[in-house]
Amino acid sequence: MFRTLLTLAVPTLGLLLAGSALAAESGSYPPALPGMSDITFDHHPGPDLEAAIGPRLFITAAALHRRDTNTTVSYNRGGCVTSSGTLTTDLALPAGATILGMRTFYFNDGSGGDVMSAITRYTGQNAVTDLLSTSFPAGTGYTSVYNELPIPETVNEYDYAYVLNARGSGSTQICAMLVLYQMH
Amino acid sequence: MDFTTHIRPTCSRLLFLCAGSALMLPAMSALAASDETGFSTTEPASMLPRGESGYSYLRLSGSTFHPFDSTGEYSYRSSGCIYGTGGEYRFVRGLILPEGAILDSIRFFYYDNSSSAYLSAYFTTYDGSGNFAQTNIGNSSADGYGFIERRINLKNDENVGPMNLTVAFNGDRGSDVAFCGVRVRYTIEISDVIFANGFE
Repeated sequence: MFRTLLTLAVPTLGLLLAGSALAAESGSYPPALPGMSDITFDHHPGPDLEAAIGPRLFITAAALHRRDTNTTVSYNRGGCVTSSGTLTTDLALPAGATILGMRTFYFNDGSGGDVMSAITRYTGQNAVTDLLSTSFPAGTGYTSVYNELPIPETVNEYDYAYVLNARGSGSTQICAMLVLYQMH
Repeated sequence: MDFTTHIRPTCSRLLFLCAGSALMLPAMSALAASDETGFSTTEPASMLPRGESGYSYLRLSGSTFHPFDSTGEYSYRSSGCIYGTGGEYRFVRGLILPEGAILDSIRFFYYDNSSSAYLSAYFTTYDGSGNFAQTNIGNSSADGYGFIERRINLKNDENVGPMNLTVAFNGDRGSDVAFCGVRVRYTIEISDVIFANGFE
């Protein structure tokens, strides 16, 4: 009997501890990038910093892949990379979701370069639209900036493929992109 | 590949799945029609109606595909299209659909302005033991921007291994033949939630 209770109690205690850890982490937003909890980001204001405005999709830059093989990529830390060309990945959102904006996380050590990020859609038939295209000049330290789409985009995968494109050049690293969207 | 060798063990356990698998066999045999490097001709592409209700769509840009191995070199053309420049000539992506979804059809978008080179497109499943089953979707034709498509009609269940979308750049590689993306059409079956717990 005691052994049975102990068997049940240990995992339950583990779950409770894990739950409290999650609760503590959920209090900070945006979440710390992996391996970078010791670094302070300068988060510029944006609606995504407000509580419960909508779901978000968070993608680290290290998960993007180069759009051509002439591009070279260097990994720094915490998911941050620099690249000589454009990096890309799918923007996979539920059908009917409305894309509102994107927060770009980047780092610069003050020695030049810039970072670019974009939400782009393609028809596959020679039509391309940058729903949002951002460029940030060299600065100092870790920064995140929110940009709103000029026109909110309702996801329509019958007609379009959606991707995130990004590039960090010189000493400016692209670290992550966080897409804010809304379900109806 | 003999796809039935992959199905048979499951059938021996659950008789009713055998019946379901038997219904799937025509689709499976179509998958086994060619090998991974074959360039056999395919049936003519059909024009599927636009946006029929009940269908879901998944779009993937050509620029998100990658070569089979690290020898594959490629460049970006424009509008989400990539073209091969050397080395490995096949490019691939996994296709991830919800469990139980029925893959209805696949459309590959391309750019082709070459009299000799062309793009081939394939849908492939694997059994994890070195075997694969492949459907040849078709070849591009020199008509500028275009697409090729084919009905698949395959249920994504426990009998189906990992699904891949593959294109191959055939002939001289360059910006005259580019791969621009894929549109996958599928349906999701409505599950019987009332009797899900066996209380019927």
